[in-house]
Amino acid sequence: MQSLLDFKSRGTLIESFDPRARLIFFLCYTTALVAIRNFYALVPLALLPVALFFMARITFSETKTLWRSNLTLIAILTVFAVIVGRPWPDIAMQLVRFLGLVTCTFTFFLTVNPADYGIMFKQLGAGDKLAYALNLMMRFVPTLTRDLTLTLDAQRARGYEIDKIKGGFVRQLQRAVPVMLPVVVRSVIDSETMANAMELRAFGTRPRTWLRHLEFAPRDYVLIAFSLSLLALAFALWWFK
Amino acid sequence: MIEIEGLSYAYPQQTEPSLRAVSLAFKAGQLALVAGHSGSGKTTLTRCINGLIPRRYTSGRLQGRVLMAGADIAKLGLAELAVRVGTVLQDPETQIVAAEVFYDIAFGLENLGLPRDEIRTRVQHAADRIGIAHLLGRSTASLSGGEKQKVSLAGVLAMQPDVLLFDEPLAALDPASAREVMQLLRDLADAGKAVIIVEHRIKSVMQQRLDQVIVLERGEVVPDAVEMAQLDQRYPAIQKRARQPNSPPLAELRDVGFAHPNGESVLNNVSLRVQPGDVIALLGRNGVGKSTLCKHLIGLLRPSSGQVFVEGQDVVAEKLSVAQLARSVGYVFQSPSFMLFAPSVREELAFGPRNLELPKDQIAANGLSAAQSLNISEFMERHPLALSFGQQKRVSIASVLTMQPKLLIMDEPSAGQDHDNIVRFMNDLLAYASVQAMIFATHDLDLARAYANRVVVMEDGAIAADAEPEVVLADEGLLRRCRLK
Repeated sequence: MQSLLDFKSRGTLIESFDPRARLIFFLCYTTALVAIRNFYALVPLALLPVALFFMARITFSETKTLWRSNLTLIAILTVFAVIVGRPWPDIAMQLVRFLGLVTCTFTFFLTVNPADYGIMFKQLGAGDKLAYALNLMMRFVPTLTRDLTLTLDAQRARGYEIDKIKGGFVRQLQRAVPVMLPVVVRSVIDSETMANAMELRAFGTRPRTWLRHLEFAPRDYVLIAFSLSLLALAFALWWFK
Repeated sequence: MIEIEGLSYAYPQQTEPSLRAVSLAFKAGQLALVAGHSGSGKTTLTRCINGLIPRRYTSGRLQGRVLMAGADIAKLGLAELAVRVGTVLQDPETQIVAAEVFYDIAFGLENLGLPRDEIRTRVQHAADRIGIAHLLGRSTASLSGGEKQKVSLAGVLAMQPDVLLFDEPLAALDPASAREVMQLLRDLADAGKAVIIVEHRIKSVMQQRLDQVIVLERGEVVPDAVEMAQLDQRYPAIQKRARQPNSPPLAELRDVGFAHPNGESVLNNVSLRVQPGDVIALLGRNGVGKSTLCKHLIGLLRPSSGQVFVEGQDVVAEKLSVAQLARSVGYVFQSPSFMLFAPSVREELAFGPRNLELPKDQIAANGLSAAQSLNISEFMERHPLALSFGQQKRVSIASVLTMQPKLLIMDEPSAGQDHDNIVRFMNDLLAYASVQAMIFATHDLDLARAYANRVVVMEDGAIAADAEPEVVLADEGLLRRCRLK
C-alpha cells in the first residue's frame, strides 16, 4: 500500500530548502488557497504546486495509488456539490482548490525526509517529548499500513469481503470491526511495548541531544517571505473582494 | 554482575505470583540461557532485571531484589540503568523508533545528552561491530526482520551496557541468521559482557557454547536445567500420512511469476502440485517468497505470469474471489493478533462459516468440531484476547478449520509457540477429517522432519528442491546454500 511517507531523495532544488521553511510555505499556501474566493486568482495559485510537483521529480506512475484515491474523493465531493445544487462557479472553484491542495500536499510530504520531522518540530519550538512524539507518528504510518494490510488479508482468507459492506452508517461500522479492532488492539499493545523500549533507552530522563540540526540559508528566508506575502495577499483579496 | 535474591513478583489482580523466590547470579563474560514454557515467568524475570518492574509495572507485589554490581536496580535512576543493562525486545518492529538506521542507533545516546561527535563515533563503532555499517543511511522501513534485529542490537550496544538482555532474539530468523546472531552473542560474552537470552528455540541456542542454562517452571528455577531443556525440544515420532501422488491435485501453481509494483521479482516460474495426503514443509531463508507463494493459493495475491488452479478451477481466468477460494483453502497467519476480534471464542469460530453463508446448524456444528479438535471447548464463552498466546493460536487455527478447508496453509506455525503447544496442535490438525493436505512454511527443520511427508525448499524465488524429508534434509550443501543450517 502506497504511503505519503514513501520518501526517496532525488537531490532536487526543493529538497535543498530547510524543511521548516517548506512547512511554513505549505501552511501559508493551503490557507491562501482556502481564503481566496476569486476564480482568476485561484487558477494560477492552484497551478503553482503543479510546477513544484514536476520540479520535485515525482512521477505520476509512482504516485498513481495516491492520485486514484484522492481523485475519487474529489469526484464524489464534486458530484455531491452538483446534486445539492451549488452554483457552477462555486463548484469550479472547489475543484480547482482541491486539485491545488492535493498536489501541494503530495509534493510537501513526498519531499520531506521522515528523519527530519522530529528536529523540524523541535526547532520550531516544540519540547523534546512533543517533537519526538510527532516524529514517531510519522515513523508509525508504514507499520500501521502493514498491520492493516495483514489484518485485511487474514479476514479475507476467512471469507470476509470489505466491498460487500452495505447498509447505513452504523451497519457499515459494525462490518468494519473485524478489520479495525485487531489493528487498534495491536496498535495499543505495540505502543505499550514501544514506550517500554524507549524508556529502556533512557528517553525522557534528561534534555536530549538532537543529532540532526537545521540551519536556515538565505533562500529559506526568501521562501518564508514569499509565503507570508502570499498569505497577506490572499487575506487582502478576501477582505477587499 | 547481577545477583537476584529471593525475587517474587505478582501482577495486580493475579493471585498466583509469576516469580517465586528466585535466586540467581549472572556473571560478566558469560552467556546464559533462560528457558521455560509460556507463562513460566521468563518475561517477568527480564522485566525485573531491566528495571521495568517496578518502574513501569508499579502496582504489582514485589519481594526480594536484583543487584547490579552491588547496587539495587529498583533504586537506580533510569538513565543510569539504561547504560548498564541493554535490552533487545522480541519484536524489533516496536523497538525501532527512527526513520533512518543511523538515527535509530543514535537514539539512546541522544537521550543521554552526549555530545554530537561522541554519538557519531559510537554509532559507527556499534554498526561496525554488528556488521551493518552498510545499512547506516537506509530507511528503517525498508529493512528485513533480521536487519531490524541487528539495528536494535547496535542501538543497545552503542550505549555500552555491561549486561545485555535478549527476549527471544531468534524468533523471526532463519537457521543461518540464528546461528550468526548466536555467534555474535558468544563474542559479546567473550568480550566481557554478561549476556542473557530468553528463548523458546533453545535448540538453536544450545548449538552455541553456553555458560549457564536456567529453566523456569511456574515461576521457579528447575534443577537439572540442561537435561530438562534438551528433553523438552524433541518431537514425538508419529505415523506420517500416506501421500496419494496419483490423485488429482487440490491446488496447483503452473509457471507462476510474481513481481511487486516496483518491479522487484519475488517468484520466478514456480510450479507446484499439492495432492491429497501431502503434508508439505515449505522451507527457505527469510524473504525468499514462502508467504508470497502461499498467498497465491488462496487468491490474496494474483500471479504476474502463469496460472493458479484450485480444485481444477483456474483462479485468474475464472476470477475466483478469496471468499470463494476460502471454501477449499484455509490460511492461518503467523500471528493470531491479526485476526481475533470477536467478543467470544464461539463468535470467532462462527465468523468464517457465516461469511461463507453456511446454514446456522452447520456453523454451530463446525465450530464445535474444530473447538474439540484443538482443545479449546472450555474457552467457548471467553474473549479470545483474554487467552494466552498459545491458546489464541489454537483459536486462530480452529477459526479457519470451521470453514472445512481441504488444503490448510500455515505460516510459521511454531513462531512464538512453546514446544508442547506445537506438538498438541500439529497432532490435532493431522487427525482433522476435512483437511486433506497441509502446507506449513517454517524455519524449524525438526518440525519438518517430524510431521512433513514432503519438503519443498525455495531459493531465489524458485523451487530448489521438492522431495521426501529424508532426501532433502540430508542434503547439507542445499541446506547451507539456502541458509537453513
